[in-house]
Amino acid sequence: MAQDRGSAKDAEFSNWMTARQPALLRTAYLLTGDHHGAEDLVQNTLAKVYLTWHKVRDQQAIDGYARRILVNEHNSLWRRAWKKKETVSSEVPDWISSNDVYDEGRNSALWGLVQTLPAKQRAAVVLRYYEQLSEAETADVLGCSVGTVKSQTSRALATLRSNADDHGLTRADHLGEEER
Amino acid sequence: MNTEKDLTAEFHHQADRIDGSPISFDDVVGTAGRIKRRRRVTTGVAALAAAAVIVPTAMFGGSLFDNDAAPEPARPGIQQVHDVTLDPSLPEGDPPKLAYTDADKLVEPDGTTTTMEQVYAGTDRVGDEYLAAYGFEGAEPMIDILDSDLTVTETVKTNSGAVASADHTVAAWIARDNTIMTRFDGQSVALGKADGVYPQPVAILGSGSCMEEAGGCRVFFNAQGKGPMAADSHGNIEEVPGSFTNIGAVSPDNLIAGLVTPQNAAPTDDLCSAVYDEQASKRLFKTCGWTFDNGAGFSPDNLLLVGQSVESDGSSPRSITVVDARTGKKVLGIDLPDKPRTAYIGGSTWEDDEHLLVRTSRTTMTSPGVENLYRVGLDGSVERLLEHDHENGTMTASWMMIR
Repeated sequence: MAQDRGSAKDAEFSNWMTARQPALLRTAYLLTGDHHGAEDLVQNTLAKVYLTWHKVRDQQAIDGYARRILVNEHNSLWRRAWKKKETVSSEVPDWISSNDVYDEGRNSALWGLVQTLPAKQRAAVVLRYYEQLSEAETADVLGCSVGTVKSQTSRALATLRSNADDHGLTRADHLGEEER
Repeated sequence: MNTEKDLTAEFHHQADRIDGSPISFDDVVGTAGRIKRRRRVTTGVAALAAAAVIVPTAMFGGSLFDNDAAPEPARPGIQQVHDVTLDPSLPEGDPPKLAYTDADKLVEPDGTTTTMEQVYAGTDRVGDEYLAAYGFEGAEPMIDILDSDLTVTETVKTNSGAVASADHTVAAWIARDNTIMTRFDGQSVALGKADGVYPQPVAILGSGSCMEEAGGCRVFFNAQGKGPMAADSHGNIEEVPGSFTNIGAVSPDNLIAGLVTPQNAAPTDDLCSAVYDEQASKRLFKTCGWTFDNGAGFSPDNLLLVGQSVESDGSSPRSITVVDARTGKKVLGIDLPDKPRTAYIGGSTWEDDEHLLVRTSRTTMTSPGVENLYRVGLDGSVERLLEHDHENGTMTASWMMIR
């Protein structure tokens, strides 16, 4: 009996999870830059949503809630790395050469530069330019002010422009247009 | 270079390559189980700076529940119900009157600090010993039994953290093989085996000894796929009465608080909790929109009970309400400011009959985390006690209060 009750909820969650997993995985990949990290991130996110599934009363809000968990979980992973005193270099490596399984060897120059951004700046640009969230929506997800979103986004763009110039990247390089 | 447009195009180019659903439902449930076990032992209390806006709302307070129309104050001595908003700008108050852990340090109320073997996720006191749980971050959960000098004397495999009785003379945990274990007088005694997946103890009733001839103990626990159960020293394991789907707290005088909304309820149904008087065999009140799990539970004098808000999007609670444990009548409301939305109440614990310690937590884009600990009085007073901030390096682990 109890199992039956649980099964109904599980089926409901499973349906939602099936529908949303690809989108969450895409955003997670943009945040982490590697597919293993993205899958771990999404698995933790889905588990946290699963644990609160019985409390969800506004089904329309669940996608936003999952996105918030995803980003905060990513920040949390960054925090754990910080606690272990792992260092992040502010210098751009000569080149980002590692090809993830999803890259299929088609890494673009701009993607390489994005991966050198600090986590907070990267989260801001992913939410603004991929998820197409407004500054206010981005601030809500990240738990900061709109002003902070503006400054972080601005710094990220400035860094990308500067590093693109330093590396003499052309527009085709940026976009990997030869691939498209 | 139009960086914004280039970025959007690049993100889509990268993301569009990714498809499929590599994560199975079983993967998610397995991860959820690990998270749940970890949470169970990290629902103590802690935190940083607080300023409070104290707003006396109404004489005798607003009514939260269907059957709380009585006009009297909810508790003798309380003439006014207050609502407070926690805001990190108040001056600092006296340190907590409870011992607590701060990373690997045990801090006594007099300020004495002792370094422990490691950072524990949750610590309970039983007699002269401590039961300290760890291993919830991707490892195997364990409990170290520490003597009064904080030296590890024994290590046991567990499903979750331990629980202790109100007088801290008996304690319980559930071993990895689902054996319900009790601890008192420096010895461990099994009560039986729990059914279900990941059984987790909620409370233990008893005092001095869990031996059958000494009166025995009762251990209340939840398990996935089963209703809440109670095991006693006579070897009985029975369903907890009161039609609960999950329980959150049990008082020494046998009041049981927990969730009563069926698990198969429609998503649009309210999430409801109730308090059941086991001695009188009757439900005392029911409320919707609040839960009694993962909070401070019953006050030391068993007169009051802490409820946490249920956020519509399923996120962590942003407000708590203290109610009369027998009527559900509101005594005190505690809220966070409207912004930021990512701030939440991480836990609460009773410091004494009149004060709650409330830990708030917030992760932001510019900081990995800020935690605040507040003391909130039933009289509406609020003080800031401790602060942790990753930015200034003081944050390594949440405080865990030890009652």
